[in-house]
Amino acid sequence: MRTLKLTNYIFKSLARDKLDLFWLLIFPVILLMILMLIFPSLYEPKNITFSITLLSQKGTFSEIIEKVFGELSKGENRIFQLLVLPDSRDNLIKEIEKLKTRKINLVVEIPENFDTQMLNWFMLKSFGMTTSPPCINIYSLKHDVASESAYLTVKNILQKLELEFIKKVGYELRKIESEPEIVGTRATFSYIDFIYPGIVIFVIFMTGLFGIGLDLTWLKERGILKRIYVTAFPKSKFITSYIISKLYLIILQVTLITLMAKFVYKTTINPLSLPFIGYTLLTILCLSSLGFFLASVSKSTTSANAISQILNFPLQFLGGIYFPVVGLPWAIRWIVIINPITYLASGIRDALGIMKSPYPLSITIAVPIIWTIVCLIFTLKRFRMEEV
Amino acid sequence: MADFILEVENLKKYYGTVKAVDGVSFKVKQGSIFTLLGPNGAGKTTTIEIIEGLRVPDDGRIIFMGEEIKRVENKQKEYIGVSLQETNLIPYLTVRETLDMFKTLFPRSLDIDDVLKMISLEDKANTYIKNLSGGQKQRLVIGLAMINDPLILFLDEPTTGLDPQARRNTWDILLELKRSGKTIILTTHYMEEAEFLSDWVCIMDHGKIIREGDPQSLIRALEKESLIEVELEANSIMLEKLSSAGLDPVYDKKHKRLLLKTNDILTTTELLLRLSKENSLQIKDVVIRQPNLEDVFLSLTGRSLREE
Repeated sequence: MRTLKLTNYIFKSLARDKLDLFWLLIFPVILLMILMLIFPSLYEPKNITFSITLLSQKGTFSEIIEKVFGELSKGENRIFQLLVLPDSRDNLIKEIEKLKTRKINLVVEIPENFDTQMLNWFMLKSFGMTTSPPCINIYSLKHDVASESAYLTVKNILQKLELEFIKKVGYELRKIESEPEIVGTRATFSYIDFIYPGIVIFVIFMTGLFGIGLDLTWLKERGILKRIYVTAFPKSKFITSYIISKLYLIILQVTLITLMAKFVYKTTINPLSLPFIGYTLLTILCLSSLGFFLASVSKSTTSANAISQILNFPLQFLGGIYFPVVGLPWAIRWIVIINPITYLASGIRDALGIMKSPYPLSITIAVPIIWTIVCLIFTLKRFRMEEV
Repeated sequence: MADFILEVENLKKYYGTVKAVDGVSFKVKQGSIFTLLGPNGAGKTTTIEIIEGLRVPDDGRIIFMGEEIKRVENKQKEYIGVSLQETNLIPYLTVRETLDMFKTLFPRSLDIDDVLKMISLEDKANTYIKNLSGGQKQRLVIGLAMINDPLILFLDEPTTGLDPQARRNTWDILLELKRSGKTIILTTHYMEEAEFLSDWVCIMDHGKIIREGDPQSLIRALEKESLIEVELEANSIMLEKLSSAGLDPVYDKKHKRLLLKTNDILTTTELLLRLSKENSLQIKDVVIRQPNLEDVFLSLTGRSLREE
């Protein structure tokens, strides 16, 4: 009861500080709005030539498709850089390998007996029988913007093609169903789905660094912690109160961001899903510990400010919060590798099916836990409430 | 309960070669105002912070309410109230909220309205800390030290930086607390504060207690009834003549102040005037006063408390 009362007072003092409120509550919302204004348009490809491989068959329908793709691969404003190969298992394996290594953007496979299936389908349709239409397999690369865009383009072309078939054969052709066999699980890219977990990590990071690290140093520097230390209140209970007050803040921050993401930007992420909650809790644990670490090494708010700025920018921008951090030179790649935010951001996105993590799930959990343990051990050894 | 609420024996705290506290011993009577008087760096704060549990001593014994303790734990903290040398409070809480917050830190406490009345801040109860004056803040700090209705109050330089009026108000609060039976352990470098408030004074210098007693007996020990402080540019001839007259002059060249101790004000003043005329020295100011603790410190160390 006494612990909660103290918690309320700590939170109340923070809630009345307009500057803290701006940076910890309002600024992340503004940042989300700015990012949503800038980045989604950058992720829309313009005037791009997609590199695709068409694995074709012999037959009328296959040749029509081949011809259409061939026409779109000619001239200065061509849409495709096309490679046509006969459909075979070996070719398919080879081309999917190329796709995985991003040498091409898409593989379109016209399967065996496609023409026969088409004819059968027309026949059965003409007798009023319903059956599954024949399929064209499209292989795209998960979470690859160019590949996703190539897929959408091919899908549009095939839909246009349906109309041509109808004109030619005089029968209603409902669809040539393009069945993307994606190397992964997600077919479309949504920047809000990408950035929403990132902003959640960002607000917790800000709370850890400034709301805990800088704030505790300020309380220490002004002798407020020392004053509390000389009371009969157990130190552990004070720390508990302090942590709960910061949890209040984080809940408020995450709720605000979630409301924006859900109702303004229509994210498809369920914030009550287990992976989201799990990774959010891991983020709170890890980045709060970082805040305590900062308060342990800082003698004054000036030094805390300097250290937090040194940590802030590399960890924030090289943690993959705003954009994927791949293919960086080694001079800065090491920051990505040691950065706990890298693992938290890629872990949460992978767990939510937004983007495949380059690291195994176990690593995305283990690295932040190691950071937490190291920071907490250091804090226990170094942090003294009675120091000024 | 023991007659002495607190006893300290041979307390030591060294920082490398610096002897911050070097074998300090004293006893504090229950219901008294006990003062550690000394210049900055004398070791007063270190001593008091060891007793408050903020620092670990290198050596020595602390007997708190008749029980020897290694260091002050939460059990003892319930009975002590503390005002640190420099206390800042959370700026965005009101006076009442701050008192209530500190109230939650103790299992037993006084009523907030009673404390507000005691420190005369009833009309500021709903004012944010950031909007209080220095004197009001200091009164609140004393109020916070009292919130748990302690037996002993540790007040580390409670009037430093306050204007004379605010200082006087603080003294009134402390005397009122003494009347209500509280024991107060005070540190100060203001000799008039120690003299006015204290039942017992320990004069500290370089980590040691160099003299202790009640203020009047310490002053009486100087064996001089009066002091004459003169502002003039004294020369060696004049100082020699004053010495040969048995006046033991102390001359502060920097501030051009001559101090004479005497039991015969009239004769000494006549001699002083005659010598200044003979040596063509212009007297700018003369103050005849009773000796105080400042003079005790000066006679013990050759330095002024305020020099530090």
